[in-house]
Amino acid sequence: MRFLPFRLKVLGAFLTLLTAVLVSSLVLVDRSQTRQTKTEIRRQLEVARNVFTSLLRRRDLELNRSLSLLAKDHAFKQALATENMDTIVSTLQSLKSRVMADAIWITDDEGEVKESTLEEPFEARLSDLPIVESALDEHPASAVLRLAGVPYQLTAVPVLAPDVIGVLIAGFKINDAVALEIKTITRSEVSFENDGKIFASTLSDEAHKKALESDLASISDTDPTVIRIGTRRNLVLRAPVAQGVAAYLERSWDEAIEPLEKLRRLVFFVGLVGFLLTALVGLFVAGSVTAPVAELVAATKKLSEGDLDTAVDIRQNDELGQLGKAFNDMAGGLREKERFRSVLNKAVSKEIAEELLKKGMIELGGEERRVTVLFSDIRSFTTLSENLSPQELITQLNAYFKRMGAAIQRERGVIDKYIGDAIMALWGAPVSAPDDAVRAQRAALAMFAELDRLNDTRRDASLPPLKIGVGLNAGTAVAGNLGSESRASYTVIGDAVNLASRVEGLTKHYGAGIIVTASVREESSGADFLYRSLDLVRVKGKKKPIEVFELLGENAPPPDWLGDYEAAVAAYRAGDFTGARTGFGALADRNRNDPAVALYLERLQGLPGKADASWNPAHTMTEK
Amino acid sequence: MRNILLLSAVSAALAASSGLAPRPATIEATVLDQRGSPVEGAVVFAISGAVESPPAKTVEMTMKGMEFDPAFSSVSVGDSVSFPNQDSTHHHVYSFSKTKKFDSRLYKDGAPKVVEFDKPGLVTVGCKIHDWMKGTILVTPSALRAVTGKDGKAELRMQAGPSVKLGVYHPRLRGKPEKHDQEITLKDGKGAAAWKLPLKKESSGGKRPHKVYY
Ligand SMILES: [Cu+2]
Repeated sequence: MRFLPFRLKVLGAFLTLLTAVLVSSLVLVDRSQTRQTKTEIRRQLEVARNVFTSLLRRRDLELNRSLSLLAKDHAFKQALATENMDTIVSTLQSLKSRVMADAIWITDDEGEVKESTLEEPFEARLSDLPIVESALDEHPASAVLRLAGVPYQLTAVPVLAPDVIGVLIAGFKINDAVALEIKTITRSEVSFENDGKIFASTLSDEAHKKALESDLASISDTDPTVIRIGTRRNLVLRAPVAQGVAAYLERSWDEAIEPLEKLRRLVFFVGLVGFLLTALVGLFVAGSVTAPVAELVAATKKLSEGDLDTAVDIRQNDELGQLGKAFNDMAGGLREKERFRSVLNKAVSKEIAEELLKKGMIELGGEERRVTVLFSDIRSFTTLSENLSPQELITQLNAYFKRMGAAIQRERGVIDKYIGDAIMALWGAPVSAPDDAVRAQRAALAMFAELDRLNDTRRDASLPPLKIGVGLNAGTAVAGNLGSESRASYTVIGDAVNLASRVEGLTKHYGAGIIVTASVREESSGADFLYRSLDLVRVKGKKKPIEVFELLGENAPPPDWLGDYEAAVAAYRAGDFTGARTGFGALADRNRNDPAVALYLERLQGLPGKADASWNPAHTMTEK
Repeated sequence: MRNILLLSAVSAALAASSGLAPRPATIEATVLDQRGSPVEGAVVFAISGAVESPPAKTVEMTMKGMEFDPAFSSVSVGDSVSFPNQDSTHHHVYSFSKTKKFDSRLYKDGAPKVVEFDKPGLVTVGCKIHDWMKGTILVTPSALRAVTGKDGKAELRMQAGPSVKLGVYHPRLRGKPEKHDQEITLKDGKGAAAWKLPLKKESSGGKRPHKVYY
């Protein structure tokens, strides 16, 4: 997942929440306001419809009253019964002008029109009209009906004598005047429709009429319907009047909704300001959280890269402040630990490590120390490893290292490193002890004891025995952390170390197990080790020859040949080659397998009986 | 009316002369309404083909409680109807009916208006003062008429020729009564007539409602 800064997340959450609240409140306000406005308009339109129907009713009532009065007039009845048509026509005319009707008819007792005030009578048979039928049945009736295509509000009243002798019918045209009258009262636009055509209206705009006409079918009797006139919107309510005739009452939606539009803009503006304010405050608040967190993150990163001197500076009296302090404490702890890590990483036993730490005895500075260095090596390791799979090689090496390591650690040695099959171990660093050299030699002897046991198990596993050589040297070396900052390792460097390595290299040449330098021997004078002199040797890179000894054992009685051997070595060094030859020859007879004796005899071949004055017994090693 | 009387006299004479002398006859009349229910109170009367000449008489149609009582009455041509006023108010009886037009003028006490009906047909009587007052008088050509009972049946007994024209009327009859005239052929002095009459609903009285169709 893509990385999203916490600050943005917090801010995002804030703003999302705010937006949600704003939008929902806007929507809610909008909805309730819209609904309210719609309800208001609907109410107004319904009032308009009521006004319209009550207007129709009132006019009907007036007509009915006037017609009834005339129908009850005995003289009129008599005129009708006696078919005095002149009288009847004049009576109808005067009634027409009195009630301001558009037309008045009188029928006979079967509904056939006898007279009317119209100049041109309709073709329609009034006797077929339901109101006339009703009146013939002695029931006055009213309806809005179309006569010759013109909608009329009609009232029919029977003339009873006391049977029906005729029907009086009067009607108002439903026209612009009616619409205007309703508009005057209700302030709603009024249009009348007949069979999909607007025939009367208060609308003066023809496009508006057209728009209304095209939407007629969708307009409801109960729920005001929105129609569009260009960009304007009107709400229209239908008031059915008669078959095919309806009134449409209309109010502007835009005008009604204008306050809401204002409110909407206001809420939007307030919301926007709120949004920006929240964004600012949110950034600030989130910043107070994320800045220290970012600092902590950076510090942690540095820490993980090994920069233990990292510290954070968070001066906040809250959880983050505590976290910063905890971080600094942790870094401090790590620094402390790191100081000892290189030492502790050495294969020293836990007990020693803890002891060292407890006593604070470790000094890690680059300093000169008196150390005894041990190198060990498996002889002909290369040949050995040739026949092994890497897996087997590792297994066998680890078994070997385990035993050797144990032998070294038992003598408080520090395993400095493993170099292939070689081991480098230290005494005297990081802590010194007076018996460092003694312990180193004991460790070397223990290694051979361990090797014997290892070879026993190897023999059981039909593996060839391992042969090793161990070299020891004591001297001054520089101890300290070496390497890059992140991978520093505590070690010792110097001639003393190199010499120990060289000495180990001599073991093969001399066929010796353990070779120590004179300095080692000198530093373990208090102990009872058994040595034999090997040689004065000038190792590669060194001008000054050193004396090396083979360590034979500790607390062991010297073998019977040791005296003769030392005497032969002394003769050789003194230049008494004849004596040396005799001495080594006798030793070789006694112990045919002593490689050192064989080496000396070989050297003596071709040498004269006595050395001259330039004789230097030091042997220069040409091989490594 | 005189013409009709004359006609019936002529037809009777014709019947006699042609050897079809009037004989006693019985006609069973059944009157049902449009739904097939028996109609009570329908008047079945002979228009022609029957012989009957009872003496003229006067029937009363009292004005009482500002109503005619009875509201319907049937008389024969030549009979008279008097309209005694038993109310404390004045009444003004009139008729615009073609059968008989008359106008009583306003009266209360004293001699009631008496009208003689000389033509058969229907006469609607009203009061100029009280619009709702309505009386109907059926003037039949002869006294040969009978009123149906609860079972909608009536029996007409008469001296008649081979056929008789019958008319029927009911106060609630819708439309003109002439439409329901029937010519009944008699067989062995017996005949049967049946009507299905369109009747108005029995009005519950009270004010006539004003129907508004919007
Ligand atoms: Cu009266």
